Amino acid sequence: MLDWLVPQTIGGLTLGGVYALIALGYSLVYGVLRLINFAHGDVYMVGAVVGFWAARGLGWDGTADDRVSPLAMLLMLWISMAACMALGYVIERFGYRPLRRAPRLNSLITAIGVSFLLENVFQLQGVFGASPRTFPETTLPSAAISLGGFKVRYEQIIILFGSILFLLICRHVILKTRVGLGIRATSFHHDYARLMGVNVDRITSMTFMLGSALAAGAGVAVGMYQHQIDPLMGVNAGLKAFTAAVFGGIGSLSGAVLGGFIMGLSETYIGGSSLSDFRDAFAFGLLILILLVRPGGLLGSRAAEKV
Amino acid sequence: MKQRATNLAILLAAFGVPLLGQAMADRGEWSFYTQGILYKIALNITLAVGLSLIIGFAGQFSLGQAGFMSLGAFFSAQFTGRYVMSWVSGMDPAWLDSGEFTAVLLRTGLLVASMSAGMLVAVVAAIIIGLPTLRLRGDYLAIATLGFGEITYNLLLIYLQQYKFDTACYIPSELAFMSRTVNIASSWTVALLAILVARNLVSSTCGRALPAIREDEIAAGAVGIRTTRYKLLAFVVGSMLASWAGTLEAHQTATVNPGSYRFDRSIEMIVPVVLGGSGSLTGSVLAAGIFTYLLEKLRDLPSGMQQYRTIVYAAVLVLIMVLRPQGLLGRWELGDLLRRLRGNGPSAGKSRAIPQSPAKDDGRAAASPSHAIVAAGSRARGAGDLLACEELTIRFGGLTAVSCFNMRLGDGEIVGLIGPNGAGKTTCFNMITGVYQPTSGKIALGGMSVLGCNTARINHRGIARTFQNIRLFAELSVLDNVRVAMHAHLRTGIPAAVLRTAKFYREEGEVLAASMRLLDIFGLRSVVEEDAGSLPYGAQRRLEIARALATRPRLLCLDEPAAGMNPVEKQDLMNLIRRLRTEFDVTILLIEHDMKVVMGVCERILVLDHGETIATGKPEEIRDNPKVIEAYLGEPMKV
Repeated sequence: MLDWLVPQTIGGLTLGGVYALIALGYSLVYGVLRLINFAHGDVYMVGAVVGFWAARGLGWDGTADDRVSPLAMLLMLWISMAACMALGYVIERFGYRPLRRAPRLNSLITAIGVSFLLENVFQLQGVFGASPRTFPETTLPSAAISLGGFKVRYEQIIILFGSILFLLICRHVILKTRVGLGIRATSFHHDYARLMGVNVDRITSMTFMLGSALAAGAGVAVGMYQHQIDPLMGVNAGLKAFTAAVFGGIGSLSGAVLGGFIMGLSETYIGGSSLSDFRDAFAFGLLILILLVRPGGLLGSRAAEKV
Repeated sequence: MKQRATNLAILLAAFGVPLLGQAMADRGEWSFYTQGILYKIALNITLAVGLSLIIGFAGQFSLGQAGFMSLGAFFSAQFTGRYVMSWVSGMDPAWLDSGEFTAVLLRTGLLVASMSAGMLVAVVAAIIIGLPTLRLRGDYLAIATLGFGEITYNLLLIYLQQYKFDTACYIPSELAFMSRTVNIASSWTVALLAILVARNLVSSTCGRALPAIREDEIAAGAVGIRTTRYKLLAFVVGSMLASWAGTLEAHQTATVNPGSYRFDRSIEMIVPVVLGGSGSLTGSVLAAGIFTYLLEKLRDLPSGMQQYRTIVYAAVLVLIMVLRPQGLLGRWELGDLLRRLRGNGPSAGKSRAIPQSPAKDDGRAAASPSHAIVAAGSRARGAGDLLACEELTIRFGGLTAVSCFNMRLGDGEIVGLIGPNGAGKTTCFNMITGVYQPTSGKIALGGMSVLGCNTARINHRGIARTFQNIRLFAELSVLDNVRVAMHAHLRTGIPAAVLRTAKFYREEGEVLAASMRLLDIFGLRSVVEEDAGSLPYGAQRRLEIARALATRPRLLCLDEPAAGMNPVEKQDLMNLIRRLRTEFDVTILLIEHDMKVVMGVCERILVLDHGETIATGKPEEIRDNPKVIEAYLGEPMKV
């Protein structure tokens, strides 16, 4: 039993860390704009692709045999995060900002349009291509190391600790910096925040950039973990991460992280059992269940409407 | 009557045109390719009509309509495979396929049966998903339906893989209605029926509840609209139409492939609704038709261009949303367009039945029994007080907003509720009207407890209110704001509205006349066609009172009606309040900061401070009450 449980738990935490990174982006954006940013999953995909391009730029020959150094991997991560921050800025500035005063459905449709656009542009042969491609491995030993008798992969440890590090940085930004204060104020109320001197447009841009950077990190992590990326990888991951954000309580940051880890763990537990076919059905069933029982999510609260 | 004749003509067209189209197809007038496009257009129109009700009119988001399509497709295929197969097993397949009248009739009957089977499952699913999530305000339906769509796909796929060892299931080809004999007729009959039902629904007093909910759910509840029920209605009808489309598609292709009913399909359906103008049935239908046609035409591009097809599609989508957020037609309907073409006024989404001459209409209104809809005088009175609040207390977390509030209102009184800001006045209103549930205490109206009732129920029992921050249905016309508030007293319901019975027309006439009379009293007659949100402030306040009175209340609660009014308007308001009491026979409870108004019209005043009642009495007593002066001005300085 333990032989089954421990590796599944480690795998689940790794996956959960990735989901948590993406889910945070959904929750942050929902917090400031009350918008389900359907393009977010695709930003994560772009993060992986930019990482791939960066590796090529750094001299990687594109085959599975050629490995990159951990340092190069770090560089790929930074490049990818920078690129996705720019992408997040552009999406918000030109896709959503013109619609700030329009009905919310419009931004939702725009988000979906942007999502389709990214998916299909990256499927073009000249851009990335429709078929999956190999993502470089690091020069770290690929054989599993033994940790108290259980086999663990290096990548798992790196991803788990990496995502926890990012989550802590994000927490610091939100709770301890001026930008974070601005984000919290904007989430509370746009006009009140404006009256207190918060530049809501700038804060919204920064929220998108922060979320996109986290998604890029998740994209590179998954590429490193699964050695393979494709232009549609953001669809399912995005849906799952969004589910995680809602499950934890959308708009609540700790909720997004908690939801991400629960989603990752339940997915690997069920995926590793005889019920593995029901993995996705279970995840979305959980979503509906939480909506019926506790609509605000585990850690979220439904604000009473002022009448 | 002219309206009925028009309706009959439309109904005949709904059945006649598809049959005519079928005859054309059978004569070989259209190529198979053209027929395919025509069938697809009908399918997408059906879907667009359903979503237009959900999104455009009720203002709810559903991101899982493809799930309902797949339920319709899958269960109708199961039904056909399991039952219909055995029923027709003894029959000659060649006869079934022949164009003979009885054979066509039988096949049509079987198609209807199979549509009903799919519909049944879809409707049950819609109620299970919709009932809990639609009770709440916000995006919960969107999220739940998103999950629902994915679950449906997963479960169907698992079922097919486990039991059929396939990723799709099939309808026996001799039973699939893919032969040319039925597809145009069936798909267009369904599409036109969907349009007809939806149009009849949204242009009735009942159906106007949907856009009212979209505009302001709390205000909709306050005028007696059972919001959950109507949201559910729109969602169930939309899902039913989606299931029909699914059945038709299954029969067209003889295949049910769950993979084609995923998230992207749900989105594909939403696009024409939003692009066409989400509050416009005409826009949704037109956009569905045009989009289907263009997308099919894009398939003809040279194969090198194919990969750009979705990119262009997505880019156009984003561009239209950014450049024309209201969609191509906004809230314009066919009728508005035609009237505009004829040069009869530019307004969108407005009633077309407004009498042109006020004088003539007044005569008619006075002569007809429609007065009954507004005049409440004949109502039986319960014994004792009209409203009795006992020991009402409400806490929000640690804050006691109102404690031990006691108030009795007699019939026909005008009572003021005053107090400094934050004293708990509006909270009292919210408890009385069911917006908040008190932590403890009792509320009784005419001797019957209304505790635990929702806003709509309380309104039905006879309490109407206005809001401190005006909550009109901003994008509905002035007339429709009042008309929709008469909704709870209608004797004809949704079925009559959809079927357009004579009784329905009579009652719509009465509602119209009564609304116009009300608007006359409030001096809003000249602006009946304007959007409520575009009126000047004072007029919006008056409209809100008119809307509240349209629900025929026994008790009218006015929350700061004089706020933002100039002295002349305030004087008019005071006269109006007195006039309302006699003319509409209502008791009036008034929250107001303007002392001139309060002292001028109120017979009795209650003063709240920090949630406690500190004084009650006649205006002159209150004026000199040291506690009241202290609450407003602070403690007197000791010299």
